[in-house]
Amino acid sequence: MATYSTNEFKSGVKVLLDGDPCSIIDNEFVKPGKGQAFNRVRLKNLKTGRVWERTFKSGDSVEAADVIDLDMEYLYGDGEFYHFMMMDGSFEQHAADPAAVGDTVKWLKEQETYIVTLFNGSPLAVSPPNHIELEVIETDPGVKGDTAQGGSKPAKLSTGAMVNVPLFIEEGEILRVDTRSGEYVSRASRK
Amino acid sequence: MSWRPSAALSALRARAAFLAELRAWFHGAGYLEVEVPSLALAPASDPWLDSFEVCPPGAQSPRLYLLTSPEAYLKRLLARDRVPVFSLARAFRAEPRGPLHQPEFTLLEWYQPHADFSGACDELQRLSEDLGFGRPERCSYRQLFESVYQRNPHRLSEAEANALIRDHIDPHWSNGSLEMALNVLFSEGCEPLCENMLVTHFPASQAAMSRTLEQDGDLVCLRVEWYLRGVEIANGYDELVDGEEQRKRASADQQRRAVLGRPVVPVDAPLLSAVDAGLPPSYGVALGVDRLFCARMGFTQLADGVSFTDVTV
Repeated sequence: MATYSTNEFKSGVKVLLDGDPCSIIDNEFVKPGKGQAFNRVRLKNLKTGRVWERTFKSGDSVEAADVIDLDMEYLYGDGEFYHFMMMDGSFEQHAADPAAVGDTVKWLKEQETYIVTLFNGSPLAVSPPNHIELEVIETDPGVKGDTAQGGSKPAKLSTGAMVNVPLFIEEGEILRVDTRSGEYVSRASRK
Repeated sequence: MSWRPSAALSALRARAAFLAELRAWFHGAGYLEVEVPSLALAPASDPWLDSFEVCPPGAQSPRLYLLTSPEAYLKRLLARDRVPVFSLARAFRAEPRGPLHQPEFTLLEWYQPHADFSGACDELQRLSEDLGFGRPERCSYRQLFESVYQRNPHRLSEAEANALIRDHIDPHWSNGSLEMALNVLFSEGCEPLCENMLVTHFPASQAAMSRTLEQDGDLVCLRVEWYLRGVEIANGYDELVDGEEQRKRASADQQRRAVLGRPVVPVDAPLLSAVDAGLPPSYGVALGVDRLFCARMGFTQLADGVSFTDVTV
């Protein structure tokens, strides 16, 4: 069983705490002038997304988590699971449940590439690309001539995501959206 | 890693002026500046202090050590010459780099013979005021600890101290020794409250080379720590001058190292002989110059106040 000692706690190292896989955010070595050092560690619980702060004695070790991030293509959803395929030529498929997909569900587009985090071989989390191009399927009619300043309106995208867009955007247009902020970036192209 | 220096030129200029200001202060207070070697045949014995070992090319031994502080050399000077001395030089500790830690740092250390603990506290107060930090408050370790945890730190059992950590700091804390637990409790709960404070009378288990005495039925040591904005800046001792006791602590440190599976280091025989020859009652203070300079500049990490930070352990 692989373990990490506190002096190997670097940002991004994946460890198992209380049975949950966690990713180390940062690790501060605290050394009183006299006496044994300890470490203030912040970790992100990869299951819940919560940030934990823990105090470890320097030299303590914890079990490594079998966690790996892989690029996968989204194939389809069957109502219960979301199916992804490895892009390493193996065509190996993985089924992620709604808990693993989480908020990414509103950015799921077939044939797009996602980062799927596997924990003990099963999907734990799915992260979208930073930018994605999606079609507007519902929005109020565009306001002609208003291409420059001010004003926005809600638009529903093909994946179900709602974003605020400039007034000139029409249904059927393809938009480039930032998945981190959920904000409109630009028009991608005319259909 | 960038080739560029860490601190800005404006910070390096301010630092040069600051070092001159410190030197002038100690010259003015009647201290003799001395230079002592950075290398030694024996390192500090404190069980939790890691010294860099130096091996000359081709040699397996004898090993040399980079000093964690000039304490032993300065005490040997004190034993012979009995005059106030200070050293402003680099010190080395084999510890990882952090926002407030560098494995190599500038240490100002001074010794005042024929003076006692209250003299050390008075002098630190004057130094703080003269450097523009204002007058530090004074508080005992016990007072400060009780104000946070409502418990007398000197009477806590190991189990109670660990339970306090779980109640106040981290519910998942796994048990450590009493000493370890007190460190965590003090560092996490008490130090952040020390805006500008002299904390005195530490638990006797943290005495290192300071004198111990009984106070209100508790065994405490005559140690003072100066904190600025929650950061430990300086550490002063009413120095142990009893050769017998010094020998006892050195061998206790060695046993402790063996038990903990940490490197056992040679005994500093010349230091023991110097104490035997007669050290005047004295206090000694070690001050982290990089940290003090950063406090003066309002920097929150050492990297902003030192020229380079390439090395970590």
